Formats: sequence, structure tokens, C-alpha cells
Amino acid sequence: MGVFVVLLPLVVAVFRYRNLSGSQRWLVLMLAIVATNQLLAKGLIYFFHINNLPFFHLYIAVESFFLLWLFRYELSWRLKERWLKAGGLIMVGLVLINGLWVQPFTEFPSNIRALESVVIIGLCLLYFYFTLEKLSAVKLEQSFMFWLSSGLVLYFGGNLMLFIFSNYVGEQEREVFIQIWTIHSVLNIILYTMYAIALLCRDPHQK
Amino acid sequence: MPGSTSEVTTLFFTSTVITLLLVVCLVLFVVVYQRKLLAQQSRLKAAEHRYQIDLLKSSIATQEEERSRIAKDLHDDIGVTLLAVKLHLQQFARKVPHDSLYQEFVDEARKLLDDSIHNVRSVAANLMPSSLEKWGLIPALKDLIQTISQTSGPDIQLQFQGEELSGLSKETAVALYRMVKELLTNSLKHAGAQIIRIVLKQSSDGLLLQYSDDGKGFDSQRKYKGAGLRNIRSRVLMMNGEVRFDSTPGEGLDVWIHIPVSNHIPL
Repeated sequence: MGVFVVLLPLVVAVFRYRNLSGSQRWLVLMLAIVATNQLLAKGLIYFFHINNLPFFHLYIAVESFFLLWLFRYELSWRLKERWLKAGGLIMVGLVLINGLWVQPFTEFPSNIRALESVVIIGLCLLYFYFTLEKLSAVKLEQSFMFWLSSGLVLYFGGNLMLFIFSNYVGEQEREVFIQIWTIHSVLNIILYTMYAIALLCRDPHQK
Repeated sequence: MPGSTSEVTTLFFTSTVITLLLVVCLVLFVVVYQRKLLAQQSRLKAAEHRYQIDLLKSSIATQEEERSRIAKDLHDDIGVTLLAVKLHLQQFARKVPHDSLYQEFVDEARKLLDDSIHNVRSVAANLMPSSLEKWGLIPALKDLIQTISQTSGPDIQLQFQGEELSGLSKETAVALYRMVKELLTNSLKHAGAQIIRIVLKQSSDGLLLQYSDDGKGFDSQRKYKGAGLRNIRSRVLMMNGEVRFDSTPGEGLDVWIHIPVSNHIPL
């Protein structure tokens, strides 16, 4: 189910592509790459029974890079763009360093995933704070960034403990492992549903 | 693994609690945001309202200043010039034989001059009555009523209740004068009233003007297009007062205007 949920926002994007703003299209690009990545990862394990965790390292690199660049668009009126641009590149570098020297590519990258969670949660909280200060969106329920940030903060916030202790959880019995990762699945579904809602929001600057 | 089940349970529980807390925080964010937005919109509306009032005050003040200036110019310049012409004509008339042709011409010219002087004074008084500036609101209203009663004939009664009108700014006095004049014009021209009552009451919380006539009335529940009554509303609004029109067709008109005492301030 978690695999197919990524299709939901992509389907929305297909129908609304002409009316999407720059930030929304950036999100769609990220989701397209993520979907391809997941497809390849599933294919690898299903057909060749090979450890597909390297794809998860790639997934983290892509996700953190795209999200940081997306926040660069939306928070440029309060944060220096170059910090967030640099942040995106640094995260990609850290994924590589982590995979090469700390936690191999065949192992779950709990360190970098936890770091990514903290960074994304921080950016989302900044967005909420700046929005409360500026009161820029008249209808919050029609704001792309509101839905995106809410989904990200719920997903990464709810899964933070899981990511930190993921390797420990991986050593548990299969049933326990599945129960724990059910939290992740539920939050993953919420995240992608919120991505879909975010893509349905109209750009306030578009006619 | 010893204790591993309880640790896993703790992990599960902690993640769930964090998730629920985040949901609560998101809901709180939305509530706080909407409240702040509403407060901001209220402030904007209040600022816009204040701006409209200021604009109105400024517009009316400019209008009154201009009227006063024109009235003064008419009275002091044109009026005086016409009087001078009349005096010269009178001097000329003394030198002309009484039964000559010139006498007829002089008499006609004198009559025209008298009419012009009267008209100039009338226009100047309409623009800004000198009694209002010199003697105040009540004497000016009495003069106005006397002038109207001489020409039109309705029974107009003016009553003043309370202490002598004090602390009334010139702008408030002019506004009240204009409002009464507007109401009288409406009663005479449109309503065909025969009996008109005007009551002015001063109390600690302000000034109350009550006006009533026995004219043909109108439906006060419907929006009226007449500029006169709209002007009255604008003037009352400018003074942060309240106005109520109460009328039904065939039943005359009652008007109730209250100006708060704090608003006896110059514009």
C-alpha cells in the first residue's frame, strides 16, 4: 500500500499540471523521481532478491535536496536563498559520506534519516512561525505550503524515534518489526495524501 | 533480548504520542492563525472607516470654508460695490429734474440695484448666515424660520430645552444649521407640510435635535435616493452621532439626531 500511495499525488499532478505553480512542479518532479526509485527498488528485491537499501540512500538524497530547494522558493523572503541551496547540496554530500564511511549503503541509514527529519521539521516550524507573523494566506486550507509543511512535520515528527532506532527495530522479531513499521506506513499514507492536497491548491498569483 | 519487548512498546508509544502532539499543535496553529487574521481584518476595516470619516470631515470642512469665503466676498466686495453704485445714483438723481425722462431711468436703475443688493445679501446669507457666525445657532435658526414663515406660511415652532448652548464648536453649529435647513426645505418643497416642530435639547451626554412635520411622508424603510437626507447622514456620521428617520406615507416625518458631547471639537 505504501508503494502505491506515491501514485496518488502523481495522478493529481497529471490532471492539474498546466495550473501548477513553480513550487508545485518542483514537488511533482521530486515525486516522479521517488516513484521511479521505489519501482526500481521493489523490482530489485522482487525479481533478483538483492538488498535494495542503496535505493533508500538515494531516496533520502533526492528527497532532502528537493525539499530544501522547495523551501528555498517559499521562504526566500525571510531566509537567505543560498543557505538553503547549500543545505540541499550538503545533505546530498552527507548521504554519500554516511554511505561510504559510517553506515554502508546496504544498511538502513538511520543517522542521515534522523538528521534529515530534524532539518525538515525545523524548516516546517520556521514556515509556520513566519506565516503566523506575516498572515500572508487568507485561506490557509488553500495554501500549498500549509499542506506540504503539515504533511512533512507529521511524517518526520511521528517517525523521528523510529528512524533513530530503526536498526535496533530491525533486529527484532518479524512481527514486532512489522508492527513498528506500521506507524511509518500510516504516516507515509498521510504524507502522500497531503502532497496530493497540496497539489490541488491553486497558486494565489495565478488567474 | 531482555527488556526488548518493553523497549519496543516504549518506542511505539513514544512515536504515537509525538504524532498526536503534532496533530494538536497543527490544529492550534490553524486556530491561532485564523484568530490573528480576523483581528488583522478588523483592524483594517476600522482604519478604513476612520479614513472615510476623515475624508468626509475634510470634504465638508473645505466646502464650508469655501462657502464662507464666497459669502464674505459677496457681502464685502460685490455688496459694497452695489451700495456705492446706489449712492452715486442717488446723488445723480438729486441733480436731475423730477419730471424729466431721466427720472424714470433713475427709478428703474434704483429698483434693479435694490433687487441686486437684496439678491446678493440673500445668496451670501444662504451660503453662510452672518447671524450664525455672530450670534450662534439659536438666533440663526430663529432668523431662518422667520424668513421662511414670511414667504411660505407654515407654522414652524422652535423650542430649546436645557441650559444655554455652550461649548458648541462653529463646525457643529454650522452642521446643525445646515441639517435643519435641509429638513425645512424638504418639508416645504416635497412634503407640503403645514406644521413643523423643531426641538433642541442639550444634556450632559450631548445634543438632541428632534424634528417633525405633518407632510405627506415617505417610506423610511426603503433606501432613499435624495441627496438631502444622505447629506444629513454624512454630517451626523462625521460627528460620530446617530440619526433616525421615521416616516410612513401620509404620516409625516420624525427625525431624531443625537450628537455626543465629546464631539464639540473643531474639524
